[in-house]
Amino acid sequence: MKLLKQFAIIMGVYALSEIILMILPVKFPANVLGMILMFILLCAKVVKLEQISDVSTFLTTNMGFFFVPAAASVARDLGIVADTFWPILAICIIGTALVFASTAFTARLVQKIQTRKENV
Amino acid sequence: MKFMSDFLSSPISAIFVSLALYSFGVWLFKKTKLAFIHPLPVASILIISLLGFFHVDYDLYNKGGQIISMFLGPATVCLAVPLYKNLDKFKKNIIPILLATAIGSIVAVVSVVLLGLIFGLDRQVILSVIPRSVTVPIALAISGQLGGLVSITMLSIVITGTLGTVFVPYLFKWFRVKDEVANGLAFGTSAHAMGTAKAMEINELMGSMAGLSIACVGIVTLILAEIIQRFI
Repeated sequence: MKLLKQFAIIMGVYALSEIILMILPVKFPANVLGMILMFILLCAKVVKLEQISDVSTFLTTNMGFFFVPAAASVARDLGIVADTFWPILAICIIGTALVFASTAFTARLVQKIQTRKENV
Repeated sequence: MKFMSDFLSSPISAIFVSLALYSFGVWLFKKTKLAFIHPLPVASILIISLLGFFHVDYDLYNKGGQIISMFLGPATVCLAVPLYKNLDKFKKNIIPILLATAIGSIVAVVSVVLLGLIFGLDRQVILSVIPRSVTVPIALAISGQLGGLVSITMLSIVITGTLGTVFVPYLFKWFRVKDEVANGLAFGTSAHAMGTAKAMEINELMGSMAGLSIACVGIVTLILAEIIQRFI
């Protein structure tokens, strides 16, 4: 019963965000709005952490499993995948290194500027 | 072969096979302790092989697969929990979080487009690879909006995520960034949920920073993708 109630709260927030997007004329993914909404509800203490913690831990720690069917859709486009695999791999390797470096250094730079301002 | 086709086209068996192969992937990961043997690529490759070997149509398997994919929605909603747990750190680092994830997302999109053009990839393939560092549910929305291929998008996301668990831990040793916030943001921005999972293993603050960057990266990439597709 405890777990069902937790799942109901999570699905309730998700459903609410879907309803909001049905009314508002904006293109936005319902799951992301649901995440933002859940964050606001937790901050406002409308939803308490204990009311969702077990189910949310289960869902987030096993998230990789929920990607399996989408990843298996490669089975449909094997030809294109075979033709483009190596360039895509190269893009991912170079791109990941660039993104990691630029994100980490931007964060450090901003932090350093902030601490310098505090010290002045 | 008719039997296997019938077996896999039953949603119950499709879910069972997916669970069993993913559990096998988890077991293999623990047994081998090799970072690149992540359960997601292991399970996906085994399912793709199974479908190919027994000539089962992907859409038949996906009748059960859709039920699994449905859990992505509530799982994304729950990403709010680690954020909330680190609310103080979030407030304290709001400026680095927003700036770093925005810069990282721009670098991600621009690098895909430039390298894609250099390698002479088709426009549709480039568009499919653009959301490679975004979390799966948002990435699929972006790919769909751009007219990309789900399979290529998933392939590039899984490659990126695998790199995030294998290669990124070395990156942050090489770059000598000794700050949990900066590293967490870099993990999440460069390698979405798989990078976040790795960051979460190392440290919860790092994981929550990565989890937070996922949302920012998703929104920034969504907007950027709309703009950049007009130029290629």
